Amino acid sequence: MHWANWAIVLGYLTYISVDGIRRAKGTTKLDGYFLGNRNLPWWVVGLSVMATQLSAITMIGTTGQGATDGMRFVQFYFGLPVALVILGVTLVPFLHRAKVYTAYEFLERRFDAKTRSLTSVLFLVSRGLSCGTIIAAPAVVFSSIFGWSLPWSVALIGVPTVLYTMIGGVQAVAWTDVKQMVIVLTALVAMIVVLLVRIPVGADDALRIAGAAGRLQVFDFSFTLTKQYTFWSGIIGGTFLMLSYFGTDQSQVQRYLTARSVDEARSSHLISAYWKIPLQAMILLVGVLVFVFYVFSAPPLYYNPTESARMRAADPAAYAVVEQRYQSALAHRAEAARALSRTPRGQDGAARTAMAAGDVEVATVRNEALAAAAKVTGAPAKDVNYIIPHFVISEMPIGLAGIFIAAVIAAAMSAVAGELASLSSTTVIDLYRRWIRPVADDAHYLKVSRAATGAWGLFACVVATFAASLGSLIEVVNRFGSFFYGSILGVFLLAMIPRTRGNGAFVGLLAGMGTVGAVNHWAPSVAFLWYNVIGAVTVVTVGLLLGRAPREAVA
Amino acid sequence: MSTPFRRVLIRVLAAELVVWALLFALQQRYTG
Repeated sequence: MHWANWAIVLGYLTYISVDGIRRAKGTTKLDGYFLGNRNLPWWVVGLSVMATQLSAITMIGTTGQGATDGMRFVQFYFGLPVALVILGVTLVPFLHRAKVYTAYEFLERRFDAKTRSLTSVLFLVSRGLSCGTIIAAPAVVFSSIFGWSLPWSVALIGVPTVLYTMIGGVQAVAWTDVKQMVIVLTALVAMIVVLLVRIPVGADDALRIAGAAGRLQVFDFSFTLTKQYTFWSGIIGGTFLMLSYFGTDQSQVQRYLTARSVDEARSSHLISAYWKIPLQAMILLVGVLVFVFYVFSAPPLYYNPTESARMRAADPAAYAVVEQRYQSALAHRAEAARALSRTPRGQDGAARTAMAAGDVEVATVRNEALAAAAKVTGAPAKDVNYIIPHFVISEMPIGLAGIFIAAVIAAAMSAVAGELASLSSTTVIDLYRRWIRPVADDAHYLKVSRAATGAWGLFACVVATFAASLGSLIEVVNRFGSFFYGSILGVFLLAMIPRTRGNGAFVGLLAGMGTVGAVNHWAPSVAFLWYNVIGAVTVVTVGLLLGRAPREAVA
Repeated sequence: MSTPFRRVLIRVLAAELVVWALLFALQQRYTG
């Protein structure tokens, strides 16, 4: 990559680190460190909420998904606006007025210490490891593309983030998130402009080509529990997932607790309610346009350069044969696309069919190549995360490539910083202050909080460095996370129902997780979005039944 | 349902419907 691109990346990293660290001024007390003195403007909170959800995976993985699978993933977010409005009148005022540091702290006030401790430990285990994977995904891609060692890639993202989060606390996180959203949006708009200029047909024809290849199929109205992304799983399962994520996950709750008032906390959420779906659609559209670009400009057979080289070295003759078939399939598809763009709309039925067939031919050869790669590497071959970086490095003009790489790092940093701040607050408030040192001055807790942030940062970097060898463990943890997400939402829903009791919430939480685990074991084809509905409904049902128990009624 | 909540809910739902309509129009124009 050109030195000017690296200068942009380094300049951005330096600026964001200095900007974050200088926010430490207002953080002499715990309120400042964890809650920004409850004085952040609503738009900063709102943009910070969006930035935390937008990780490097969104920048390289979701765009890559747009290129390979099209726009259908946007259905995943259909429940989000409704969920945020519901939270605006339920949990947001509840938690903001409770003047708590963490969502789980509220559970002890409402139920008991064991429910609080269980939910906070579940959060720490799941988020601590997922924080590592957030760093690992872009780090693995960078190390493969630029030939860096993995620890160096991890350090590039992890060290500045840990540094400014440790020193500046949630204020640093929120204000740097705003800048990171700006660079992410700049990079996405720049990519769309570059793609529209570089694709050799007009925008309308580009979309016709994408549509013929099935990349603009957004809605799937089939009601089935086994498909991952449908309109109904997005609306129903997605609403429960978003209620749980925005309403009970400390990485999100901590953000709206920093707002000046309940109204400002609600307003901050409305930014996501209005803009999250258009933003995700735009991210997927970038991927769709990259697909169209590569219809006319031959893409590599396998986008991961390191594994591609291994495949070639393992069996050069077989690789050459697949490569030859691939070039032939690409030529057929490009010819079909050109024919489609020349055919007037309304008379293009045959041209559209030829384009779709051309795309299937390319996909077939690519799938064979991926299967061959899996045999060589001994792991499932997936190169979705490499498509967009490959395009950026080989096709984007000098300067814009640097902005995109900086944006990927920015997205990773904002997501990691938010997680670290929430991990630290949960560790200190829900475990250290609750069980180890209940009475101490703010200076002491602040010191422990900074140490906790640093320790979680170090843990995340270690997990990221060993991500490849921890692959199956991380998958287990992610699966484990989806077991209890809906159940935790169920506990918070119970908290808002007056007659419920602590034992009901605790047993309900265990029952909810158990039920989801059973569904996962005996009906593995059920799509994970439905787990959130199953978990939440089980907890509320069990909690209500136990809440009426005579022993608790007397107590 | 309180009036301010109802107003916000209607606005958010209206915005979501507009987004769905645009996405549906995109799908119908180019894949239909």
